[in-house]
Amino acid sequence: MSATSQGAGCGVVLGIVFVLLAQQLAFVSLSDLIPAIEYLVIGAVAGGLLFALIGWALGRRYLQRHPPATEPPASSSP
Amino acid sequence: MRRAAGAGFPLRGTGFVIAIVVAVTVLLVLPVGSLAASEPRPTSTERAASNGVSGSAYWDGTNVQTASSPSSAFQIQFNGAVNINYTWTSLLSTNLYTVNDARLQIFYFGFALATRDVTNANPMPAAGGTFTMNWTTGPLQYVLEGTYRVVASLLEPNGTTVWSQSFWVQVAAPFYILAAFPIVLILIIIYELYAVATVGRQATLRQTRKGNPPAASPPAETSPTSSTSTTESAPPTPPPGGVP
Repeated sequence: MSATSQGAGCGVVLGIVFVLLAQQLAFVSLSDLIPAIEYLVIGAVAGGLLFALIGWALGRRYLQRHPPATEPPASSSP
Repeated sequence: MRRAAGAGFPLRGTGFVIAIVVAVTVLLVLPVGSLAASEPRPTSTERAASNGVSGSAYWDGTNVQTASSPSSAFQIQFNGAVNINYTWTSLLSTNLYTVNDARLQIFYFGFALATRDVTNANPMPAAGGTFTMNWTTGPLQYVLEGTYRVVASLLEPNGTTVWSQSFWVQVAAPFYILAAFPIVLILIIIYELYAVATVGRQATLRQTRKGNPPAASPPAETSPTSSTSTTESAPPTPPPGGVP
């Protein structure tokens, strides 16, 4: 699993959780099924895309900060 | 040999950008909010006038018609209780109705989360009547909060709804978050944000465990080639010390 896909997975969960928390804090009403499902899908998709981008960037920055070392030559010992 | 994790990023980045463009296009093309906007929201005008009954409900003395939208919802404090008075009259005095049940339902995701009934054991046909209900959210107040749609209705013994009305209530927990569900949601958010913050390190560690070290080359004793050669075939050179 790459950093991008892991970020996307976290983002989907976060998008859904943000919508549910917004309902609990009285910013969104989820009493009716149709807008509630729409809000959850929108939150999941937007969160997945946003955090996939963040995961990709963070993974790339991690590799820049911890660059891969050069491999030793395979035939160094007889 | 598979390269390090960073080597795959350019290709994945290209595919990822394409995926973003496609997803955003789909999101923009789809009329996402049209369904919610065009959905006929139940309002306080939902009276069953066709049944010939005119009714009203009073929430602690206030007509529930005044809370016909989420922005004008009634406030319920934690451990709070309210009195709801139902009044109904027949539009034609010659038409008598037998109403034996006053019901209150709170809705979540379109389903009744809780139902409260006040029934009359011996209903008689009449041209009007009243019901009084003392209502609290019960155990739900320790779990859920937020804005909810509530439907007050009057029913006949055969289950027919002779009058109903929707309104909105807002269940408020102390400090807005001190209910079980918001706390769990906040904990999930913290955990997921931590997972995102350490996403690069976790992905690297995961690939290292799979045997694809993304960083330095593995030591000689853990490299797959050396372990394979020692298990599947004889060592190329005999160890020093004279094996016969």
